[in-house]
Formats: sequence, structure tokens, C-alpha cells
Amino acid sequence: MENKTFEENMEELEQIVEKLENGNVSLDDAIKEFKKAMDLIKNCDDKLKSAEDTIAEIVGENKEIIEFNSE
Amino acid sequence: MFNNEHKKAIPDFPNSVGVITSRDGDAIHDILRTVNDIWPFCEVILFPSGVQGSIATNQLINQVKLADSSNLDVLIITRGGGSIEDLWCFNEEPLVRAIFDCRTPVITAIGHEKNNTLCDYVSDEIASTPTKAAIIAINNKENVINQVNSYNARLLTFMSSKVTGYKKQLSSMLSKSLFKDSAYVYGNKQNEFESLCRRFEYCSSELLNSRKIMLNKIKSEYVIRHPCKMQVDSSKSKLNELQSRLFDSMNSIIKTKRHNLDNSSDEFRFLSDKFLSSRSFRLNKAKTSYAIQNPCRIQLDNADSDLSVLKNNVYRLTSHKLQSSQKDFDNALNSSIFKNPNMICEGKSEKLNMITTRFLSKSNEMILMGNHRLDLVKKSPAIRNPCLIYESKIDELDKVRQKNIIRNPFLMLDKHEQRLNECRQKLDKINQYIELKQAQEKQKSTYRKIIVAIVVIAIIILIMLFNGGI
Repeated sequence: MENKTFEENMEELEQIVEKLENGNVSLDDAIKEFKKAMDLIKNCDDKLKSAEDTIAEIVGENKEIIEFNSE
Repeated sequence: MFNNEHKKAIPDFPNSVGVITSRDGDAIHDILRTVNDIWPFCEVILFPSGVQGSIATNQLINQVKLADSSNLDVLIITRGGGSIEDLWCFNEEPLVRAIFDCRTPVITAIGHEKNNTLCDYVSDEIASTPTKAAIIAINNKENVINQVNSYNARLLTFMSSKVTGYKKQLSSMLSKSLFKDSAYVYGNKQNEFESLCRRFEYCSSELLNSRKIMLNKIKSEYVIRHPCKMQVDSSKSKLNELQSRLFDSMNSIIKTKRHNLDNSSDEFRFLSDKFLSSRSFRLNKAKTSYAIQNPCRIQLDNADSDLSVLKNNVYRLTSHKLQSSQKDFDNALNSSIFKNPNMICEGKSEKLNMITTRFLSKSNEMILMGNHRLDLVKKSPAIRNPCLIYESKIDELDKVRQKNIIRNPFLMLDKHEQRLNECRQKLDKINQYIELKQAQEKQKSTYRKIIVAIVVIAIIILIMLFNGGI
């Protein structure tokens, strides 16, 4: 799960929610999926809360990448 | 080329956003601010390029190609407002084609006006300002958070409703009579079971009875077939009975006899004690009367008894001593010396002979010597006239007495003085003699000188005479 991107995590989360809400899922499966969804939510939440400043970079003349100071 | 079918979708959660714009313009700052505010998780990479004039075209094309190859999630091409001439480079065909060929989704925001360039038509999304372009390119953090929260809420609702539903189902199931009333399950099985139990008991007792009857029957048949066996059995039982009766009667007899014996022995003891006490009383009485009549007798008796005790002691001690002596004696007799007396004599005779000879020779020698000395003594005058010894002793005594020294030790000093004077006189005589000798010597030497002188004169005369002769 850690290797997945944020987008993939969100997609999977949505799928699980929809599947649970719409489908006829057994309790065991529902609990399994619920647990998975909770993990995903935690993962996404962590990502969203780890608010760091945007990394800004600039491509130089020789195609090298330099940190870009926006100030 | 400008159709919608070629438009690519913008990703929902981009990680990297490329921006092609002037390095010094406001556009990049607008974009950075927006990204930082609403989606700070993504990386912004600026591909600096000129955005004005025909020179910019090639530069823009190069940067578009470079950005496309940089594996970005979305690319923004932007610049601020300007005249149609200023923006003309965005209408150049090579740039338009380059944008069309991009595999990365492209958002354009060129100029503030509605006069779009060809680039705007070919891009995947159009925005009026750099800020709006950024908003299109990236997602809003708050929205996403809300979405996640809504997912969370939906999940929780779902799960709780699910659990509640199941709980309800379970409770409804449990409330059914199947779980509440055991009779529902067992039904009349209980009754059946009880009747079966009763039947089993009845049947088993019936069977047991029939078997007992059979057994008795077999027994009786056995008796009929083996009558002797019956007799033997009855005899055995009778014997046992008799034996037990015999034991019982014997025990009772022994008991009564013992009882009688105890009684008689008690009686006998009582009587004998009585008898003895009367006798001893009478005896004492007699003794006392006897003692009164003859008091000495009692003393005599006591002495007699003491004597007998002493006798006994002595006898015992002596016999004991005798016995031990006898024993020692026997032991001694048993020792080998007494059994073989020669053992003592062996070697002793030789030694005895030797000692005897030595004794004899020594004694002879001594006798001889003694005789000799005796003779000598006999010959001495003292023996013949013992008074001689006495006389000689008297002489000696007188001599000693004469020595006044003994009486007066100062006499000794006088004697020494006398001797000293004698010595002095002798010394004077010797001195006189020496003086005399010296005078004589002097006289002699004078005579010798005279003779020598005469001789010398004579020689001289002779020489003169001789010379005169010649």
C-alpha cells in the first residue's frame, strides 16, 4: 500500500466505499474491506496533513535542476 | 487537431507540475503561491523561456520537448497579458505541433484577454490566468480532505448499519421459540425416552427372573443326578457345626476351671499368710522371752553369726586366691620348661664350666698374691714389733713439735733475716776476693810491660851488635 500513489489510494478507497454501499457483501468481507479502507484513509490523511511547502525547482541552461526561490 | 477527441485528462492528484514561462514574470509566482496554498504536496518545476517575439518560439519549442521528456504529471504554458503582436509567437505552427505532440497533459494560460492563440486551441485545458491554470492543474487540499472524511463517514455509517442489521437479525433469531423453548427442539422425545427407560427396566427384571428360575431348575437336576454330592455337602455343614460347638463348649469349660483355680489360690494365699503371721508372732514372743532369760546368749549368737560371716569371707577369699594360684601354677606347669627340664640345662653346663675355671684361676692367682704380700708384711719389723710404728710416729710428732714455726710463724721471718745476713756476709767476702784478684792482675801487667821493654832493648842491642860485627 505504501508504494501506491496518493491517486491510487484515493481510487481504491472510493471503490471500496461504493462496493460496500451498493453491493451485497457478507459481514466477514465487509469487515475485511472496512479495515483496508481505514488503512487507506489513514494513509491519505497522513499525506494531506504533512503540509510542507511546495518544492520549486528550475531547469537551468544545461538542463540541470536547481532549487528555485520564489521570493 | 483541435478536436476534443485529442484532449487528454488532467490527473486528479498530480505530484509534479512543469511550468513554461518567463523566469522574471509574475506568472510563476502566482502559480507557486496557489500550489503552496491548496496542494503543497506537489513539486513545481520551472522551464524558463522567453515568451515574446519570434525569437521565443524556438526556445518555447525546446522547453516543451524537454518538459515532455521529464516525466511530469501536468504541464502549464503561461504568460501575462500583452498585445496580439506580443503573443504572436504562440501562433507559430511548430510550437502548436510540439504542444499537440506532448504526451503530458498541457494547460495553457496565455494573455488575459479572450483572444486565444492557436496554442490554446491545441492544449488540453485553457485558463484565463496563471492562477486559474494552477487551480485546474492541481486539486484542492481541502476538497480532498473533505472527500476522505466523507469516505470515512460513509464507511462508518455503512459498518454501523451493517452491524446493527446483523444484530437485529441475530436477536430476532434468538427470540424465536427454537432457542427459548427446549421442548421445541426435544418435542416429545423426552416422553419417548422415559417410556423406553421404563420398558428397559421391566424387560431386564423379567429376563433376570427367568434366568434365576432356570438356574434353580438346573441345580435341582444336578442334585437328582448326584445324590452323594448332597450327602457330602450336608455332612460337611454338620461337621462344621459340630466343630464350632466343640470349640465353644471347650472354651466355656476352660473359663470356669480357670475361675475356680483363681479363687482357690486366693483362699490358699490368705490362709497361709494368716498361718505365717501367727507363727512369726509366736516365734518373736519366744525369742523375747528367751532373750530375757539369757541375755548373753544373744550376744553369743550375734558373735557366732559374725564369726561365721567372717569365716565365710576368709574362706571365700582364700579359696579364690587358691584357685588363681592353682591356675597360675597349672599354667606354669604347662609351660615348656617344666615339660622338658633339659631345656634349662642345655648350654648352661658349658657356661658353668667356663665360669668355674675362670673363678678357680682367678682365685688361685689372688691367693698367691695375698700370700706373697702376707709374707712381706710378716717380714716387716712393724709386724714383728708393732710398738715400733708407734715409736716412729712419736719421733715424728716430736720433730713437728720442735718446729716452733708452727707455734710462732714470725720465727720464719727471723730465719729468713738470718739467711739474708749470711748472704750479705758471703757477698762481702766475694767482693774482697775480687779486689784482691784485680790488684794481683795489675801487678802482673806491670811485670809483663817491664819484660817486654827489656826484650825490646835486648833486641835493639843485638841488632846494633850485629851491625857493629859486620
